[in-house]
Amino acid sequence: MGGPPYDCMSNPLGAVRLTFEKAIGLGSETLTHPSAFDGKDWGALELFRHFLFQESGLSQVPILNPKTLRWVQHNCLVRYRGMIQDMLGNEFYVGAYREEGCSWRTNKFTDVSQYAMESPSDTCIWERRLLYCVPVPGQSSWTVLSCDMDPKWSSQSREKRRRMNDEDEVPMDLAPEDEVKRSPITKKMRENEPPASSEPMDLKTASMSTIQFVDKDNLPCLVKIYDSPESDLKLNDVFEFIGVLTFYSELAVEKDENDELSNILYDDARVHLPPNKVPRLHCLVHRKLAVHDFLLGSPIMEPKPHLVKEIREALFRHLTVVLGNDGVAAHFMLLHLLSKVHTRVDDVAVGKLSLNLTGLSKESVSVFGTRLSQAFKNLLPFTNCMPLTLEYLNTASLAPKKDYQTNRLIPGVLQLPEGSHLMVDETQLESGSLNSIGIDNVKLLKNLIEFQKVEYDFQYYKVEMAADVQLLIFSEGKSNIVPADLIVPFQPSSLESSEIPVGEALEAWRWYLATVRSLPHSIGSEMQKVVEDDLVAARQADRSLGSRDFSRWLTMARLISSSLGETSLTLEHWQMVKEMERLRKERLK
Amino acid sequence: MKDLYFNADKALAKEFLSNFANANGEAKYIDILQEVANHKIKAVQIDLEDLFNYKDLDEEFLRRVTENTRRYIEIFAGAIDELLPEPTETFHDDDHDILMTQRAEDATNNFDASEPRQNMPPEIKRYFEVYIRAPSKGRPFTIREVKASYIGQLVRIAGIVTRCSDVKPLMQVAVYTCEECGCEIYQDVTARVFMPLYECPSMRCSINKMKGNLILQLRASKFLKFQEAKIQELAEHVPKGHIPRTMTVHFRGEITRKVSPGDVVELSGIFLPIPYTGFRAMRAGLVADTYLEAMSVTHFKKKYEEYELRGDEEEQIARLAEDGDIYNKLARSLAPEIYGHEDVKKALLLLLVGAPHRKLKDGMKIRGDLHICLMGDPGVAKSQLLKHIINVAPRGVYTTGRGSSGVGLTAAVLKDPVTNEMVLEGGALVLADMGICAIDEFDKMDESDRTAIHEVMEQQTVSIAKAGITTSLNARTAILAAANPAWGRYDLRRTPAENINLPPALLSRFDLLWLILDRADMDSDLEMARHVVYVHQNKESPALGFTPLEPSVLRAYISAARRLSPYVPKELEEYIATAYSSIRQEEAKSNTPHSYTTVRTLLSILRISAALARLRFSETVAQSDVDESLRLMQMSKFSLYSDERQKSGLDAISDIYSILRDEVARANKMDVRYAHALNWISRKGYSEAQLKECLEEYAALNVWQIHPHTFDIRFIDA
Repeated sequence: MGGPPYDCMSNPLGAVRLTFEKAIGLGSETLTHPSAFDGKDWGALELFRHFLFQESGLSQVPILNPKTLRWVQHNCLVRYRGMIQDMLGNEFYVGAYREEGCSWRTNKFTDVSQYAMESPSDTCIWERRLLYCVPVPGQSSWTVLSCDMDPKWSSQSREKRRRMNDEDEVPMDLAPEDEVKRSPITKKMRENEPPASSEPMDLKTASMSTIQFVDKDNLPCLVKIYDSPESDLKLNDVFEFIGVLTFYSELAVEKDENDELSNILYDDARVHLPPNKVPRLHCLVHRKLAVHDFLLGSPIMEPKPHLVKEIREALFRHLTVVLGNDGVAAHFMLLHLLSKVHTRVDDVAVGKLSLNLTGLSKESVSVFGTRLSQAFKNLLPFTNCMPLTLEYLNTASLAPKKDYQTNRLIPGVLQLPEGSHLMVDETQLESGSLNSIGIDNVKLLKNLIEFQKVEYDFQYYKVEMAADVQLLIFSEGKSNIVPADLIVPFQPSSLESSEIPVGEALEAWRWYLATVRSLPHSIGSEMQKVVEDDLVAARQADRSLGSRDFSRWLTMARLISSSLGETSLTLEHWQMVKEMERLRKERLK
Repeated sequence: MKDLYFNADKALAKEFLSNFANANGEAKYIDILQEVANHKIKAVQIDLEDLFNYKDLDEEFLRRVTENTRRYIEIFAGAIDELLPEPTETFHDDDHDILMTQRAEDATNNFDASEPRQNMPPEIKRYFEVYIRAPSKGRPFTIREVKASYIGQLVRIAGIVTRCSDVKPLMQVAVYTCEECGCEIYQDVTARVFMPLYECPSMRCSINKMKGNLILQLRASKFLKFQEAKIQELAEHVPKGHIPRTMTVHFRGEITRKVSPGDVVELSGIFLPIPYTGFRAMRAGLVADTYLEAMSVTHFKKKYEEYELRGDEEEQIARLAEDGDIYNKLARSLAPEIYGHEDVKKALLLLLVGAPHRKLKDGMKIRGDLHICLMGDPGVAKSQLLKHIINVAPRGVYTTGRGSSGVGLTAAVLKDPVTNEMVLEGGALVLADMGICAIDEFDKMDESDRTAIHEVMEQQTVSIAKAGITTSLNARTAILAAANPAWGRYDLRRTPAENINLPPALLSRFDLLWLILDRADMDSDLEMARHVVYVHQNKESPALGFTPLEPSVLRAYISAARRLSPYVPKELEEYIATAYSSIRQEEAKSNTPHSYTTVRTLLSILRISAALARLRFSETVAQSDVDESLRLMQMSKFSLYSDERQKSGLDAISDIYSILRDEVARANKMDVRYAHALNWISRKGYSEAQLKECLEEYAALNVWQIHPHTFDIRFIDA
């Protein structure tokens, strides 16, 4: 094997150590002082990138979820997909140390030193950032990578790993004097098979404590970031982190003993996120996930116009059936599903297109609402539903809020990643009075739909976070609580249920929705003139039109041409916009 | 070796403390030490700035102090021990002193130098505390910027206090007495947790193999006040898409109880790791918690009056002040993304600047704050204007008429749920004292608030007589209100009074009232269409044609302007009186008076003029200021009654002509300076462009001649 002497998969720390030794020049004449790295990468990442992307090791790396957690090993390479829900600041750690008479050793990418640190004579303190990640809210089932790997492979690899444990890892990882590490619990962790039932049970009962952690398929993860500029990782971004897993049980014991002694303001992550419930991942490589990354075996197609048109036709037919043969609504729905915030100019989020289907009653929502939500779950990666009842408005916490007792950001319903879809069902709203929470919640919803911004409550001040959420509202009349860009009276003509689309078509539609919405778009100077004149003429005819309406028309124009796979606005598309607006106006009368 | 080094530095510290003289030539630290010796104060604050300015500055020494501050506190304390003068005043001996005298006597009796634990540590003798303060020059760090490399160093950090613990005693020196030999044993406590001694280490006990039992003497031990707090990054320091960072701060001794949650503070302190103890050290030896050992606390100032200019700002302001066009430039820089509305923005600028408060001899106060009301159709960016103004103002509160909390706009008496006491809680207007209060949806205000706001707007106080509490709170705030017309949209078929849904008593308290209407004309429509298309095409807003000034520059300029208090010179009194009486007469002539010109109007004119003078950095109000203020008032009236003007039959051009002709006839001259002409017509609410148009048109008719360069007008005698 010409590969690296260490298996990146099962002994990533070994590989890290090797590169470290190489970097400080061990064995050669001149030794580099590790403080020169200042915590920066010394070449380890290159090794892993090469392994993951060139040698296509990525697909072999197990995905961390409650199921795999049962068998993945401590100190192994894993990957985790999730949304950054909170940022816990930075943590200082002894990055490199030297003991009398020994050479430098590094502690990067690990929580516990692999060798006992008795009395290091020289240390370097480096820092890393802590991110608290959770599974993406409202993630559709098709986006979740099947974790049950090929059983043959996994058993094989387990075999292999066991062997490695015996031959390789033990001498390297388990320094004999390290007593604590040999505690029975770690041993249990090391045995590949802890009693199958005990672990998830444990996780369930864990939710009793401090913050509701985990339900069955909801595994949060504390990711430690080493080498990447701060601006790379933003709140609410969806990322895939590949790194070293550490998952202890014994660290949690501390909690009891430091109750009395330690300070009152103690809010260490270790207490509120006990390490035996929330695994730690020491991130080596991370990448931002787009919808494309969720498409399984995605057919990488060029968005060719004829191909796009075909898929568009099929998807449109599907939406029409779902919407009870209401073609007009299906047209608008298609545009709505393609909308996304392209840019923000001053206070205007350009490219959003929220849709309000009116004329729905409680009864019809139960039919079409469920149908639509099923359809969206099949089409979109992240979908959420919000039943807007008076009680909900008065009690729910929509905005994330900082809890200074625990120093955590308590998630709110509106903490959603980019490209989420949110359905708001207003038909169940009854008249009554709102309390102050209700008023705040209404304000939040209004802000979200108008400016695509959510104010996070930090108690002493509020921080506005940009959002990009597609909003669909069901209501009887026009919704005033959530004033959408488009109001379309919904007129279904049949109740016949739609056929369940087959896998291949779904795949194509998902691909279509993901690809087409990020197509570039331009308006030629000739078209610009036409559009401007049309807008002025429209405003002369109807004084109630404002810049918001103009903006909406241009957004629709963009979406129509993108939906047909084109990248510049043509007169035909512009006429379609006007025609759609005319049809809509007619219905509104 | 190391000790030698520190001894040298101790000598340096001593020399600095005894020789440093401040700007007045006084020996600052010797004076402080004398106070300390007299038991007047306990804290000795060493300003690094002083060390920096010290004549015999040793740069290396300064660097060492900044980078290893904790050690140097010890060194300075040692230096002070040696320097401390004899008290010059007698003071009452407290327990501590009595204990000290006793110990001194004991020490001579059984001196046992071989055991370090029996030596009295210097800390226990000190009754002063040493703090080293970072120089206040330059920008403080944000919490995010404090990296691992700053560990052990003195840093200055800005943040908001989010949590505070109670003040508790922290043991600094533990004192034990031995049951067997009676020795006093001292133990320095450096960490929060310590392992008490149980066996007497004294010579006598160890020789006798007694293993004497030690008893902790709480009375003799030294305790420090200790408080822990959390600070968090300020909202403006948090990069987009990130969560504010927090940091733990420890306060010791004299600087405890200086902060409470919600305070915006600037701290200087030492960034230190917390040594883990016991089991934690073993397990989590790899990570270190850090905290800031606070050395000084400064509260941020949020008032104009206390706004401190930063180095380059002063220069920038001076440069701006020389620019003739500063008034327009500043006005345009307010909410630059909102197109047009120049006059409204000018008015808002004046609101930010304000006029000086006057207090008459008989105790009557005349407010200097300008109140402005913006009225208009929904969706004409009123709220955005309001929010922008609040952003610019150092102290501003944005609220809506239907304030969401129970306190409302003014104040409320609430029952404290814990103590059952009645407490007074200030509303938005009280919170905005000495600042600006922007009230959106002014027309939808609660009835109770509406009555109270009358008082706030003229007397600038909020009076409360409820539940046994009668008091009056200050609410010296400029009110910026935004209101919608009575029927949601402005109804042109109805009279303005019907559209404005506010009682005249309230309206008269506003200095300026603007109606922002969405008017139908081709040009503005095209402008809007272009803007929208541009935004969609280019993903950015079109260039503004000028670079707006940063809000921080605006703030600095305004705060500098607010320091002035311009007065009206004698010569202008007549002018203002005439202007006022002519407005009154015009109103009397008109059969449908729109406005009620009262003494309040006169005060408004004076206020606006004073604000304009402040903007020019002038101590006196000039005639141009009065003219501009009259023009603004006229414009604000026109915004309400503009259709009126069209009805009168005269178009703008002929109206301008008649104004000029009247003025010329009055002065009995044939020549008119262009500047004067501009003054006259602008007071009537016309623009310069219209004047030029008029000049050209009538020059073509040979009514007058225009000087080709100066544009001065000469009437051709008919």
